[in-house]
Amino acid sequence: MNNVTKNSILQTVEQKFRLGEVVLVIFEAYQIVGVEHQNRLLAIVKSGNSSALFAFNVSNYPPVNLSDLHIESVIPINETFLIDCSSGFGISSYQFIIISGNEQTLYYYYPDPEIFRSKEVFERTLKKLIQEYSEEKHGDFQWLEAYKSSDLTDIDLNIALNKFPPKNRESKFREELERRKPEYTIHEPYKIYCGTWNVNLNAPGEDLSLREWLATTEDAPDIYAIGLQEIDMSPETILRGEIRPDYNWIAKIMEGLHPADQYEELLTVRLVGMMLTIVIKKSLRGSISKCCSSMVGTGTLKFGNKGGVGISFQINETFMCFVNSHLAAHVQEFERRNEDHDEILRRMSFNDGFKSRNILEHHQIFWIGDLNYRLTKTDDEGIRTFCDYEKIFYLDQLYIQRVQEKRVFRDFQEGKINFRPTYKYDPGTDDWDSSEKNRAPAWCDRIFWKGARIEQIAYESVMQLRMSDHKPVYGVFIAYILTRDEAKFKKVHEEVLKTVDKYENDNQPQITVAETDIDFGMIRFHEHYSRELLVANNCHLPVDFEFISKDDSSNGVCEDWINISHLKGELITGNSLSIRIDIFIDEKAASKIIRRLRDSTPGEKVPLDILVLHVKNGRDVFITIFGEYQPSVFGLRLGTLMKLQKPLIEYTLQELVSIDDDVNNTIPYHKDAKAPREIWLLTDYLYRNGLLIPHLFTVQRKHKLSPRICAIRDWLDEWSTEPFPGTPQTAGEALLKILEALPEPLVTITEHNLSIYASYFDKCRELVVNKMSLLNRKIFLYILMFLKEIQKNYANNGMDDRTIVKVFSHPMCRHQNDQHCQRFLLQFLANDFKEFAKNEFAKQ
Amino acid sequence: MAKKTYDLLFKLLLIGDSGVGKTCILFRFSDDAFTSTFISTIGIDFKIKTVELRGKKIKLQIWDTAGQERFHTITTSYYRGAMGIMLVYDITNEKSFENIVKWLRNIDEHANEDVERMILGNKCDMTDKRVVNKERGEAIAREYGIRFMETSAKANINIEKAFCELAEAILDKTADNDNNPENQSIVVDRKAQDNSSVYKGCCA
Ligand SMILES: Nc1nc2c(ncn2[C@@H]2O[C@H](COP(=O)(O)OP(=O)(O)OP(=O)(O)O)[C@@H](O)[C@H]2O)c(=O)[nH]1
Ligand SMILES: [Mg+2]
Repeated sequence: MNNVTKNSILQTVEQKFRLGEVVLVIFEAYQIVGVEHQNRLLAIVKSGNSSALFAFNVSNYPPVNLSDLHIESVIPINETFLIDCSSGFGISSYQFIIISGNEQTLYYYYPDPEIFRSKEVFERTLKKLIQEYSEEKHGDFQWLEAYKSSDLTDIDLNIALNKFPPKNRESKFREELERRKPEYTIHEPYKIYCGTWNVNLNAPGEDLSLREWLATTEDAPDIYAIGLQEIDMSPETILRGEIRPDYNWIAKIMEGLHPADQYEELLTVRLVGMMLTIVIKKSLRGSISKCCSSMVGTGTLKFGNKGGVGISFQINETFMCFVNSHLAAHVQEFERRNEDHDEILRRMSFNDGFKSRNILEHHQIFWIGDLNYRLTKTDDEGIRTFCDYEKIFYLDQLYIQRVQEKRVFRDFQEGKINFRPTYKYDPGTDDWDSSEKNRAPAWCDRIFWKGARIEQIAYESVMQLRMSDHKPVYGVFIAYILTRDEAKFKKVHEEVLKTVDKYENDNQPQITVAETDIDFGMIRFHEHYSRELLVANNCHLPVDFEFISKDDSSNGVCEDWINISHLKGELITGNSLSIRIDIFIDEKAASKIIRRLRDSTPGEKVPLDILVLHVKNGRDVFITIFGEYQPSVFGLRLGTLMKLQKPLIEYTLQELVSIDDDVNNTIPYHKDAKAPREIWLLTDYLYRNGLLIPHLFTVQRKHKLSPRICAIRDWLDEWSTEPFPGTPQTAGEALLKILEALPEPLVTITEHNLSIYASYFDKCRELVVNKMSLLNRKIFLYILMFLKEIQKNYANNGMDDRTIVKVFSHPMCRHQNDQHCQRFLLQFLANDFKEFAKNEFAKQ
Repeated sequence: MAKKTYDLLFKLLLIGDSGVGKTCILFRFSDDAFTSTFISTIGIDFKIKTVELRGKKIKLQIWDTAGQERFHTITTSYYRGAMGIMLVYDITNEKSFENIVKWLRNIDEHANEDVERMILGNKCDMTDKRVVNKERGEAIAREYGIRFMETSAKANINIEKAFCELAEAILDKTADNDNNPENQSIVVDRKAQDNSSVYKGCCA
């Protein structure tokens, strides 16, 4: 950070604060947030007897606009404030901790010698302020309230301080609709059927029918969620992590559904042996959206022989999720099952393309599968013969883990089990396992749910399906799903639109302008005038303002003799700014302002210009600049000067304009005048007092801004009889200014003509005769004769030809390329034109 | 759920002499309120209001201009891109009625050629102060082939109706052009009014 950027950053930071709040030190550090390094600009700010540390989030480095800095935190420097710089190792030796209240924040800084120095200043300043506070024991921290996103109700300080942009119309609309959801939604019952079966590696045989399992309810379910386990556990399948659905099983499921309705498969997800298929009534297709699946393989190698698969979707306004899982096996491994459960819960994530949600981020969740929890007591015989399931249910590991230990499936519910343990049978029979392993029976296959408005109406196993060593299990539910009432929705929607319109109208940034009329009073040639325009931001949004052009043309935002100190800027809530408006009528502007005011009536306050102050996304304010202009000889046509019968000061602007307009000379020239009085007076004075003065004219125009010009102006305009108030140098400057202020240049020969003929004196004379009016011609020759006198006195005044023409060529010709005009003037200085001039002067 | 809060965006403009009630008309329409204190508009203001016409949600962006004489040349530069212009006079002010012709000329010179126009004779609640009778308003509207209505921002007469009718006239026109992609986007603001500056084609 070199000093220049550091200063400009400091200036940007200062703009964030109000009058009386002084930014003492800024310091660049960073903070590690997650895995990210985030730039933080720390600023120590003092106001009155209290101070605070501001941490800014820098969105654009180096910050140039206010919007690049966002207040991240505001920490008052009070009794709880501490800075701890004790170093550790490596990166941590560049760390320091700011502690305030119970919170501490760790900052780091870059190991750069430049920063190192400023860190010392930073630290020292903080320690000094802590010291000061501890001596005074109190401070007024009220001023910080404006920067804290605290309890001011009707304005959002984050927005006001440009921390966040205001919500746009669309997101406000969504937010309002969401907020008013209860007004237009009702809960409608849907019948959900969940089934789970570990099929023990069996393929679905020709003659297998699942009707006995899937079509047992009286009326047809709306949604089926069928989870299978161990559809295939061959090593290849496991190694490949098979995810292609098994269409034989899907076809079998579709055949076995309730015959009273039309169904379609919504989505199937498979991972190795686990498969979950969601089937819905065809008529429901339009109510379902954002359907997506997810899978999680667990266990040491995460191959997917154990784990879970899930499907998430939105039905009407409700988000639903189904999970089918197969957890770790073996009696003693319940802790691994718990871990599998945790891992599925942690890792399973559904992404609908816009948003990711995990299992618990659903309104209604159904979790089914072969969870593999066993009965702990191995008093086989007892269990095998027991008919009162309640008596042995407390032996269930899952009951222990879930209900007693609250270790897994917390907040999930399960219906009362009224069926025999579903494991383990001799395939093809209803007999308990008779192999030598002689496995104890267990309720491996279970159905859980979580969410409001779910009623279970059945929880059964199906003994008749004997293909596997597990029996299938099913649960039937009535789930109440949030559905929109279209009529009510329409009404709310209309109201929300109104709210949103209002929101948009209320969220137009506005600038407050102290005055829309700025009166400059009487304005005179070559004098400086300035006024203050106070603008403020009293609204709750940041204001981004800019003066814009009045029309679509590329014209500037104002007349070129007006200068505005801030053409654009940003103001945060509560801030104000004084914009300076300057007017200076120089030789170029003099004729323009006369023309601008030509239609005004004398004595009336006239708009000199109107400025358009545009606020981004808001209204435009017009600022009218009023003033009067006191005309002067500067800015009038030569012909006009020739016609003046009395001191110029005695004419009104309108009279002068009408004389100026008299291009056909219906008003006669003042008798005897060869040249305008003013030009004559100035050259005459110079003849007498200036010819010997070294550097009477300089190419740099050293006297361009001399205040004596104003005195000369008055002397000329008033036809004063006082002695000339200027010096030879300023008289020369005034002469040049008269030429420059003429509405049209004195020499009316085109640049093109001069470029061709400027090297031939006779041609130049011809051009003067043919292309310039008699009046212009006479004045031109008159001035040239004077210049010739200066040239003659080169030995005394040191003004050579080159300098003379360089000074006069542009004021006389105003050509883009000055070279030709200079050559043209040089011809006259180099040749004798006395006879020619005499001839011309004689003409009438 | 409806994604867009509107189907079409129309830019409308209020013009007319100072004091005829432009700001009050807009305030009545947007906030359904009225104040009798006169704060002359020194600049350009706009408000949003969404209306539903023929099943389409139409977001009206209504620009209120300064009526004072000295701003006339400036305000004309805001005409461009307006799809509808409401020209307001005050039935208790003869001069404001006479100036209608001047305002119409301004529209001809500066607004889009196919801009939809409407003349409003405002303050029709002030019967005892009326100097311009309704027939004269109707006559001039007929002469120029423009819609006409007498309104009162104070008594809330015809305000909503005027805006809806103007919007509907624009809707008729855009419906004709719906297939023409060139008509689908017209830049509304001269100084990028950002997101809201584009007239969106039907995109429900
Ligand atoms: N009685 C009556 N008074 C009205 C009505 N509409 C406006 N006014 C009054 O007329 C005055 C001017 O109204 P504005 O709406 O501010 O006028 P404007 O046309 O916006 O004027 P500018 O901003 O200067 O162009 C206010 O004092 C209003 O109260 C109306 O319908 N009836
Ligand atoms: Mg107004």
